[in-house]
Amino acid sequence: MNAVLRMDNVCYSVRGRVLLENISYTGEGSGCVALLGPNGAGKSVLLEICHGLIRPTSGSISWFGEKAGGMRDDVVMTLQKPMFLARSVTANLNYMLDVQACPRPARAARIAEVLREVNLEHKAEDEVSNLSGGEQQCLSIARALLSEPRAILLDEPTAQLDMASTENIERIINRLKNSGIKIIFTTHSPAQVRRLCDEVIFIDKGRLITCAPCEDFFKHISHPAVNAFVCSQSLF
Amino acid sequence: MTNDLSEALRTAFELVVSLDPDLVEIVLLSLQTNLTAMVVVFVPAILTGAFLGVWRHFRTHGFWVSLLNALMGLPPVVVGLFIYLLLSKSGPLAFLELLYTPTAMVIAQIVLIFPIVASLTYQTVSDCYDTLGKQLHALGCSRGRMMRTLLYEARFSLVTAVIAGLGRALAEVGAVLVVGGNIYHLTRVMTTAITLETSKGNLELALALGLILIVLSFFMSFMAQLVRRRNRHAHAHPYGV
Repeated sequence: MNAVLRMDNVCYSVRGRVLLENISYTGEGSGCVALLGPNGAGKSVLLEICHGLIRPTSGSISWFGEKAGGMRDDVVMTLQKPMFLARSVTANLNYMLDVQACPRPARAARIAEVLREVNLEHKAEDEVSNLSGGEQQCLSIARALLSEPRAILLDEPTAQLDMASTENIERIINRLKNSGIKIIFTTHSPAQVRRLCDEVIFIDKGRLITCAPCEDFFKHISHPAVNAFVCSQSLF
Repeated sequence: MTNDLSEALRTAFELVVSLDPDLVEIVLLSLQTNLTAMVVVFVPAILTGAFLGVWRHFRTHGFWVSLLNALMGLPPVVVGLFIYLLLSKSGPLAFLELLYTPTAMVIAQIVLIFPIVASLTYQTVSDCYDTLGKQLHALGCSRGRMMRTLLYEARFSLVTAVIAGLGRALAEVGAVLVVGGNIYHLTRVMTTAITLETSKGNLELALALGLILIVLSFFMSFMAQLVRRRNRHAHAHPYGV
């Protein structure tokens, strides 16, 4: 089977400060992968490198067997703090379709479809400013889905959200996972990883500490950094 | 003295209300030169500012931004002198025969307004880029599209930049006096006329022109305020979570 995502010795440093060091990983098939680790571990940077938003200092990324030189249409990313234009929900999605040069007659149906997928049909004409944090995250996912991606990278999609919003986002992630889209997301929550993921990559201080199927990851915690992190997060 | 002043004010009002031909001619020429300068400057200055706001990683970026900021504070008389030297009989552009014409005044105003509008546009687009740039990159926007989007998002603030430029042009005396010469029926504009009429002791016309200048200035401030208020209303929310 062709690797969906392959990272070979990915390094990233800024002004001499090493943020990522020799990250190598091969992920196959669909499913959900969690990038787990403490704050400042380098999860978001790694996600941005995978997306092509920033280039690694050295090493390479391949998606679906092709070396990635920049951003790809079939791999999309939602930011931890998604930003929107000061317009309505529909206008924001329409803008994305405009960027993709989608023919005008096809847009309305496509927008309705993605809004349905994230349960935001009833907010179509609302201003983005009137949406809650959770709804804005849903809209961000909807915007990403407009590209009909094969892989979605989500940077802390449930950070600072209440339980109900978190549950809603997790339902959406599960639905996307079942539809065959590869999902990679960053999180601090081991509990969320257990609920959603098939595989876990643990990163600490810019290094890949361990990478394992979800069940194995929690069964055989051997590395002290992983142990310390999981124990500390379990307290909350 | 009080009587003199009130008498001058009364006469000034009469001049304004009766649409005194001299007064109207001076006001129209002022507006004509200012608006022409702004029309010429508008697109290039806004594009320059937006370009610098979005394309940040070329080597001389810092230099161009610093230059624009420095040019914002150019002494108008020096600008006038420089253009005078270019257009005067012994200057390299003498063959254009533009000295002491409204066109020369427009050129001086262009030089003065361009850095103001470009620099304010840069600031505005740059701030907008800080907020939206990463997201637009992530959506796959090209730099050109990003520039268009940010200009649209910042449109209300850009109106303020244009009004600031117009305000500068309207209040300008030194440069237009040097290159225009304040010639009656040809290059006499509100500010230069006020200077001349005051020195002649013809306070009525000077006051009438001053009143119009103040009204125009208030009008522009009011417009800027209105636009800012609308801007605040439109962006009263954070762009994101």
